[in-house]
Amino acid sequence: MRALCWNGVNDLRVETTPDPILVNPGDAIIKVGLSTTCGSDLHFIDGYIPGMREGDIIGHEFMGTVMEVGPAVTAIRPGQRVVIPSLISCGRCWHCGRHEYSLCDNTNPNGHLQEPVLGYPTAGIYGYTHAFGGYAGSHADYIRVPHADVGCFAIPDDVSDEDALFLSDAGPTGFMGADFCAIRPGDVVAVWGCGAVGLMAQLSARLLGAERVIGIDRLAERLAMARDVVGSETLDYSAVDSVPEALRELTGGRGPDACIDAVGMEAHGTGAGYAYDRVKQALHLHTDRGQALREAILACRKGGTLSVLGVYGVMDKFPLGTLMNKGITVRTAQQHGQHYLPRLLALAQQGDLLPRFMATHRMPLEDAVRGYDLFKHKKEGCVRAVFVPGA
Amino acid sequence: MHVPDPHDSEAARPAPIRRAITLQASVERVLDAWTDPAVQSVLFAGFADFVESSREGSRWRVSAPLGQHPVVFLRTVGQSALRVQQDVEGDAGVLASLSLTARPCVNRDGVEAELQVRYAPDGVVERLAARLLDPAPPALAGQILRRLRAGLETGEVPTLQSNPAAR
Repeated sequence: MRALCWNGVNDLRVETTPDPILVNPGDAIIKVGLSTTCGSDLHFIDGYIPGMREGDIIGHEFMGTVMEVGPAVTAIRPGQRVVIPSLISCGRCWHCGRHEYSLCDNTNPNGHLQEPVLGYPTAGIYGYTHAFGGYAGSHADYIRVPHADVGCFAIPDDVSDEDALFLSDAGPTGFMGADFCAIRPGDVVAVWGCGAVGLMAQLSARLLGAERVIGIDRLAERLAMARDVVGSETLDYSAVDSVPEALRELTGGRGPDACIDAVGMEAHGTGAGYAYDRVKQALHLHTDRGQALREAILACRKGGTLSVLGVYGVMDKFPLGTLMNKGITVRTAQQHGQHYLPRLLALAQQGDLLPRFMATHRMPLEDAVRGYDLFKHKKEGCVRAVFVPGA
Repeated sequence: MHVPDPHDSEAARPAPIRRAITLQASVERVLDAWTDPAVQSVLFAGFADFVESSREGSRWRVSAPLGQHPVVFLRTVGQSALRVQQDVEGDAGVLASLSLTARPCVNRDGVEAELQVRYAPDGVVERLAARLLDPAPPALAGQILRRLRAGLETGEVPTLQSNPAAR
């Protein structure tokens, strides 16, 4: 089959690889219909997150058609259209029993690589370093899905491929981020980032009852998408001296009730703090540029909630004292997609959650290297590049 | 720095490796699985291959550092309702002692299983070789226990067998 493979820092190539096969009784083989870029891919593409090996297939946000199932699979059948969350979960461990699917005990064969950094292993992720399992990713003709009864969700006939695609990762991540905010009537939610996850977080916050949602970014086309499609108020951070001060004034001096970081470790910023982060990152003294996260901590009202969706590694200059003194609740996780997907598919059927507008660029898998270039450098207004295997 | 008294044989023994895990399974299932050669083949995959079994135990070919593949004998030397004790025997005698203890959790679901491994490589070369084990013995013990948990809780163990890649 053909697949997009990592071959070194900023070295992606579409190559021919073996097809996946059924290995465990609970496996399914999916013919990938659509697979999309994600901002978190850039962290290992750019070399900030270690753990990739030459030839690894990347990609973790996808939908497709069931081709083959193992003998223990009963919930799906060949020919069904399915969407699959990016995190692999067994559905039976203690954490899965608590709906903490991204914390699954039983799906990372390389847990020993995570223990020194995380303390305990977490769930495997498709196409996302050997520390997260080393599983082949979805930018390919086919993919093996372990624990398919738990990982594959049938797509209703009236939900399109492109809407379902984003319910694999951006949708549940954004929805979880908003859910973490425990939104109450009258709440103001500020979201850093108007990329796909940020847009989904803004839309989800509105669906969960936020009175006002404020999207923060610097790119005109993304701010326009937040305003015109999602219905958010917007704040261009390049046009203000201080985002926390601007948010304070927008909220009657109190600050947002909840702040969602949908930016992560490669935040763009300004000023001395950003320069400091860039130098340390370039010298590999830490992995993170934390400007967005620090702003969110400062901007959040006293007693409010900080919801962190951005992927981070190691950061110094973390304002723990600010969190503590303001009594802020922090909630964060990799997405628990298996918990949220039934609700998200229902919302898509109702027409309340239709993320297909984020598929700004669609192309054959063979053009995926160009797709990542558009996505990474935000060229041509790219929000997400969507790959079509076999096209 | 504590220097063990060389005349105190207990203190001079290397500290055991201890790893614990909580599983959603009964004590009986945990201990039965631990002594089943078919299950052991899965638990030890990548560092020991099954050779044969007998009433006294089972024989394994170990993937050791420096390209060595010694054959060792895993012998059960003690078993109770809550514990299995095993010795790993090589040509020169007992190389390591294993003990798996399983007990119901107190006031919460599940069973706690603790694996204790005592091993004492003799000689400078053997001690250096032990450092080359990948993963290191404590991490290896953790990996074995995680495989045991996955097998008991889900019926399968996570694997990268036949994982497609361009290499």
